[in-house]
Amino acid sequence: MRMRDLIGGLAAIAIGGGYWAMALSIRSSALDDTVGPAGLPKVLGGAMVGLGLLLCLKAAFAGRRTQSSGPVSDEAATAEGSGIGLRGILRVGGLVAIAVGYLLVVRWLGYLPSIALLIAAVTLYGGAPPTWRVFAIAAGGAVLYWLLFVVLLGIPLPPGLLG
Amino acid sequence: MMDMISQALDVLTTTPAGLFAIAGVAWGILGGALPGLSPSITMALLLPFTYSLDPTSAIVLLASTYIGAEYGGSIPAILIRTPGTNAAAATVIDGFEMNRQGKAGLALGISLYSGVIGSLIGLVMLVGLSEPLSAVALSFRPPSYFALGILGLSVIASLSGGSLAKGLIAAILGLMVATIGTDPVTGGNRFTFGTADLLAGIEPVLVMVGLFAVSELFVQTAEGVRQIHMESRARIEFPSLRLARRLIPAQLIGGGIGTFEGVMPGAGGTVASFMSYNEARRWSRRKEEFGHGSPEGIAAPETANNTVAATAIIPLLAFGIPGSNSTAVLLGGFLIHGITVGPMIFVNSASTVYGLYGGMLVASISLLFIGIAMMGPCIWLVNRPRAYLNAFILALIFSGVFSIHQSLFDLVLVLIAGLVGFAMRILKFPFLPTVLGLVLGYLIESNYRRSLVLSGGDHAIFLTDPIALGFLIVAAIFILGSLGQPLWTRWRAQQARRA
Repeated sequence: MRMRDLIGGLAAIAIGGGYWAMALSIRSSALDDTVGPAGLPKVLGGAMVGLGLLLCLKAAFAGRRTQSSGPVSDEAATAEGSGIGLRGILRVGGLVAIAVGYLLVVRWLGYLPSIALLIAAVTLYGGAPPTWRVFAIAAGGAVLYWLLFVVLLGIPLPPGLLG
Repeated sequence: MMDMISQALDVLTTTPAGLFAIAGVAWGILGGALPGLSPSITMALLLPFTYSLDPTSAIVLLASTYIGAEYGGSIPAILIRTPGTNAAAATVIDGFEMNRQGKAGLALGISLYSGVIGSLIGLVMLVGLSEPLSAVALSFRPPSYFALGILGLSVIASLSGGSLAKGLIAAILGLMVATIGTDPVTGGNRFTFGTADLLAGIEPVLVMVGLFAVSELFVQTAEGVRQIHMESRARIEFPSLRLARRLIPAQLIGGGIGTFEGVMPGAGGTVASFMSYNEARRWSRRKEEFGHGSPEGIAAPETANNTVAATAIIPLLAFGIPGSNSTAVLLGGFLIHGITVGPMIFVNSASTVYGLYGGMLVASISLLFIGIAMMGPCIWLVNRPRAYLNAFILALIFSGVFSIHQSLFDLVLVLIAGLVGFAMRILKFPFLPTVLGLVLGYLIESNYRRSLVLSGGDHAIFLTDPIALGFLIVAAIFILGSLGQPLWTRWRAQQARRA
C-alpha cells in the first residue's frame, strides 16, 4: 500500500465532500442561467470525491513501483518531494508558529520591530548560534526593508508603537 | 514591424523598463544561483513589488528575472556540481567535468555566451510567432474561449508526473479556489463565509507566492538546513573565435529544441536542456568528449533553457495559457495590472507587449555584462548561512505581500497556500495544475455558461463552433498522447530487450 497516495486520496475526499456540501447551500436567484452558480461547484466537489476514491483504491492495490530516471518536466521536478518525516513536519509547525506570532504583533508593535524579531526568530530557529550577530543582522535587515518599502516605494506599513 | 520597433523604443526611452530589465537579470542570476530557488520562485518573490510599478516595467522585470535565473542556475552546476535550477541539471555533466580539469572560467563563459544566444533566438521566435498566432484568436467566441480553457487544462496530463489522478485533483483544487467570490454570471456570492475580504475572490498572486516561495521555505525547514559552500576564484573566460564557431551547431540544436519545447505547454527548460544535450551528442563529431568536459555539452542545454525563457511566453501572449510555473507567475504580473492576456492583448495593451519585447532584448544583451559582474555576489550569497537567507526571504515575502493591500488577511492566505503547497510537495502532487485551474477557472466557467445562454442550453454549440471543436480535438489528442507515451515507451523497451 502506498501510504502517501492513500493520505492524498483521503484528503481529496474530505475536501471534495466539504466543498460539495457547501455548494448545496449556494442560494439560487432570479437571474440564474441553466447551469446556475452552484452548477460548477457541485461538479467539482463530486469529481474531487471520485478522484480521491480512485487514488485510495490505486494506493491500496498498487505495489511499489520504481520511478523512471529520465529527464522530467519542470513541473514534475517540482513535485519530487523528499522523504520528509514527522519531525520535519513538526519543525515546519514551529516556523508557522513564528509566522503567526508576527501576524499577531505587527499591528500593535509596528513593522520595524516586528520584522526584526521575525528575522531573528527564523534565523535562530534555522539553527544559527544565538549570538549578538543574529540580532544585529536582524535589526540591519529590518531597517533595510523599512527603507525599501516605506521610504523608497512609499508603502504605508504598520507604524505601531513607534507611530 | 516599424511600428513595433518604434513603440518598443518609445517604451524603453520614456519608462524605466530598460533599468528594470537590467535589475531583473541581476536578481534572476542571484536567485538562479541559489540551489532551491527555481526561476518561478525567484519571480514570485518579486510579484508584490510589481504593484507599485507601471505595467511594462513590471512585466519586463519578471521576464528578465526568468532570463537571468536560467543562466544563474548554471553557476553552482559548474562550480559545485549542484544545479541551481532544474534546467541546469544537464549542464552539470560536462560543466563540472570542465571545472575539474581547471577550466571552470571557460565553462562559465560558454554557459553565459550560450545563454545570451539562446535568449536572442527565443526573442526572435517570440516576436515572430506570438502576433500571427493571436490573430487567429481574434475570431474567438465564448465556445472557443471555453475550449481554449479546456486545452489549457489538458496540459495537466503531461504534468502529472506519472499520476493523472493527482494532476486532476490538483487542477480541481485550483478550480475550486477560482469559484470563491462573486459568481461571473449572476453576481451572487459563493464560498465567502460572510467575509468581505473574499468578495473579490482570492488573487492568484497570493496563491502563487504561497505555493512556490513559502512552501519551499517549509520544505527547507523540514529537511533541515544544509549549508552549501562554493569555493572558487574562477573568472569568466569567453570562448575563442575557433571554439565559438565549433559551438554553433550545438547552439542551433539548443535553440531549435528550446523553441519547440517552449511553445509546447508543460515541457519547459528541463526537458529542453536534456533533449538538446542528447541531440548535440548525437550530431557531434566529437561524441566521445561528451561526459568528459565537452564545451558543446554546456552550450546546447544552456542555449535551450534560455530559449525556453522567451518562447514559453508565446502561448501565454497568443492564447492566455501559461505552460509553465514561470509563465504562470508572469501571468500573475499581467493580472496585477489588469491586463488580460490572450489575443486582444495586441490590441488593448500593444505598448506593454512591445515594451516587453524591447525589455527582453535589453535583458538578453545585458546578461552578457551582468553575468560577469554578478559572479562575485553569487558566490558570496550562496556561501551565506542558510538560516539567515531563509529568514530574509520570509521577511521579504511578508513585507511584499502586506504592501499589496496593507492586509493581514492576505498574509494569512499566503501562509495557508504555503501549507497547502508543502502538503502537496510531501504527497507528490504537482503545483502547475492548481495554478492552471486557478487562472483558467473564470475563463472556463464564464464562457461555458455564456455559450449555453447563447445556445439556449444546447451543448452542441461546442461542436458546431469550428474553433472550439478544433481546440477540443487538440486537447483530446494531447491527453491521449500524454497517456499513451508511457505505454509506447514500455513497448519500445520491451522490443529493445527482445532484440
